[in-house]
Amino acid sequence: MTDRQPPGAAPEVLALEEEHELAQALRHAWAPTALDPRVNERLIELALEDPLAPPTEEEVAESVRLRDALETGSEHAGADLARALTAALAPQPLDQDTSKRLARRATASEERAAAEPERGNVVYVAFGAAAAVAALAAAVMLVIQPAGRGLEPAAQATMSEAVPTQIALSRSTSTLFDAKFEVGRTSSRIDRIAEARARDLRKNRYTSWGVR
Amino acid sequence: MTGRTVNAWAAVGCAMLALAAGCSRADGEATPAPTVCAPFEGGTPVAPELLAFLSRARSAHHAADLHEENKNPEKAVAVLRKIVDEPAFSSPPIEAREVFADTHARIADLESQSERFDPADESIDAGLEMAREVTFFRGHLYEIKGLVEERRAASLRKNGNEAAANVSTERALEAFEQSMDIQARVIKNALADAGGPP
Repeated sequence: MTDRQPPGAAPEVLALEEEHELAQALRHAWAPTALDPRVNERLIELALEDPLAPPTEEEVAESVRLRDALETGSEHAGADLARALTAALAPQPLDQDTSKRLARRATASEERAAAEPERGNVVYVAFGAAAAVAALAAAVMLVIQPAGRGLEPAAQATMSEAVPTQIALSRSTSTLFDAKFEVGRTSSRIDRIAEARARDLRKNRYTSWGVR
Repeated sequence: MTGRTVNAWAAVGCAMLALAAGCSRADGEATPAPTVCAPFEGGTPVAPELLAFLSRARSAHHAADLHEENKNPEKAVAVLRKIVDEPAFSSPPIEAREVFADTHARIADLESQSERFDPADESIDAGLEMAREVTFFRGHLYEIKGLVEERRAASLRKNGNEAAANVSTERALEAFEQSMDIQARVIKNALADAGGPP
């Protein structure tokens, strides 16, 4: 179902069972519940033969590919999944122009759909081409938010505005200190600076990967 | 669950997945994720190069601690000089400049303890070049400058050069005054930033 369709292609339909699985997956992504610790342990056991073993060369290479994909936005199965889950868990607000454009397309699609015969209980899967689905959902995203997480009520900030505000910038470390420096305590000051900027870099990485 | 509900959930999810890939560019193309190192309006993001430098500086200072504990200040100075003498940036970010300044202050302190006053002076001057803003770093450098002059005065006096010792004592007093003045301005600025009395 992840294959993209060219614009104008006939939408793919899912069987009832597949439709149910997709709906469940989307619900779990939208409003995840806590995992039973026993299930969690079982999943780890299944995923790792030896959880404490050092990574193999293949695992290291794969992690590099995943990191690169997350940083550059290129395609990678793991990165695609991470981005999809991120969008489901903490959707970014749309800018006003885009939301209007999508709403217009949705309205047009609804008018077209009204003229067509009833298709039954199906799900249209067309990530690249099904403008109606994307537009409808985009419109829904403007007014729906998962419990405990927030879109701003007036979610009109653009992505280009939102992202830089989350990036930690290089700046003086003076704010880390609230008293004059003691002679002979330089190491503890460098410790504090290094730890603070390590947190900043970690935050920047998560932000650039879109996972925060 | 009704078919209508399923369709609604599916629609929401499909759009989120599509938007995750494409965000909100009007032309429908994916907006590339911002890279950590790309400059933004308002400053340069904290980058891995800075962390690498800070990690190196941290190791050097802890190594210097051990050398000092072992009563080997020469080795402590040598390891600290690796931080300030080996260029790490063409244009160091402010955090790096502040670490350079603090490292120079420590080198000056150690050099003057061993009565190597000229290298101590050079380190103070180099540190002040790095910490030009009114910060604790600059105030600390003047404090160390005062200590250096105080030790120089003691050394000169010990060797019978009373006149030169008095000059160093005067310089020490001036440096301590400057340090206190800078620290007072730092505190005043901090209070003003916090909304307190300017």
